[in-house]
Amino acid sequence: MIEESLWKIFGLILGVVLIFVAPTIYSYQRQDDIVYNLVMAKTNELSQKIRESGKVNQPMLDELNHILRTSGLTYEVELEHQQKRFSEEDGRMEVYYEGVYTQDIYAWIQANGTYRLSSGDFFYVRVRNTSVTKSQSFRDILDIGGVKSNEIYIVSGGIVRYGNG
Amino acid sequence: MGMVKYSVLALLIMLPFFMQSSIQNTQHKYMERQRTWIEQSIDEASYDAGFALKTYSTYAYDSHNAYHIQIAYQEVIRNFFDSLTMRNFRYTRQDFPLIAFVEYDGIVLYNPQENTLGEKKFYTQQETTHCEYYTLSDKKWVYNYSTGLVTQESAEINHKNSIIMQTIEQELNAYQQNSQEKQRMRFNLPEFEGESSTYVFDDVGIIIFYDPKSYAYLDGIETYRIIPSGIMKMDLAIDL
Repeated sequence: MIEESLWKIFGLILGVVLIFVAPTIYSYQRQDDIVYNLVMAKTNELSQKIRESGKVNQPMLDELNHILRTSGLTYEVELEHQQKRFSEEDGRMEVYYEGVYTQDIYAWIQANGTYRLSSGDFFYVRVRNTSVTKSQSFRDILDIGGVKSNEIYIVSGGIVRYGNG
Repeated sequence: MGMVKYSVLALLIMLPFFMQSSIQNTQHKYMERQRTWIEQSIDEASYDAGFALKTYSTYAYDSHNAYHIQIAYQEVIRNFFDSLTMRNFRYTRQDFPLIAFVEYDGIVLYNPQENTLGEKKFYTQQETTHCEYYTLSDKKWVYNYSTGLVTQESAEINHKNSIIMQTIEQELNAYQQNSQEKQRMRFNLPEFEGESSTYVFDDVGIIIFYDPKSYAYLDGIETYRIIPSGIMKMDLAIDL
């Protein structure tokens, strides 16, 4: 009698896992993929826009933030500007880069409106999720985490093609 | 009751397969993401090098009439590697066995590991009586051995492209033969869009050959394949 009940309970648990849990995890993973692709596309778009125009302003950043908010997650957006500089050493001209990072860029935009770049500089946008995605939290509950780092981490950028900052 | 037992046992047998399939899907997803990231990084870095090629060249740039364009090789190479470094891209020079500059009148190969530039190989076709010099323009220069005269003639575009293609392939093959790792290396040119190559060789560019063997997830998948990033087109938004 007890054995029969145990078999039934076991069967029920397995049934629940296969009928409810597995499809839910699967669907959450698909959602994550969609969000990942969306964030990647928008991050690429912003970095392209910045590098082609040679400037960063609040509306550009707001546009990205607006899209990020619609995904239902919170993100950290990092900006990195490597300014090209020249120095002379033993009669030879050397190139080096001076970094300006998120906080300073935001402060400049707040104070002056537009942050300008120069042609030949490098500019990068990095976006990573700070809140856990649904599939991440589900995996955490079931303790089948595997990947513990950020589910979404996008880096986009490169050389600035226009600007006389 | 028997039915319940058999059902549970059947499910238990199937469960590892479901799990395996799910794990494989996840691994595949992360592998594809990493591959996308690597390819995107190299494409962007190539584009940056292409931009440097155009921006830092001496003399005003005109891709169709650029006899005396001086490629700032080191600047282009530095921009490529800086671009990778700033994307937190971990690489060694061994991952980049070759960088090729497709110039106006010839091809120049750069060995990133030894930091050496090869000599320019001109786009030529040698005949018994004369030698034809091709460029990225629609003109060719014919040097007549017996008279010593050089005449300018118009070049048939498909023929011009095939000569340029041949020259590039010969140079790549020669480089491969001289390479220490010749058994492993295959320098294949990028796959061009469209059937005709008429619009391919109409501007200077850069070809980056990359070997992704050292990357996690990709390890062992493309060990013997070197991915060219493509000839960069210089259609920029700004007219320099």
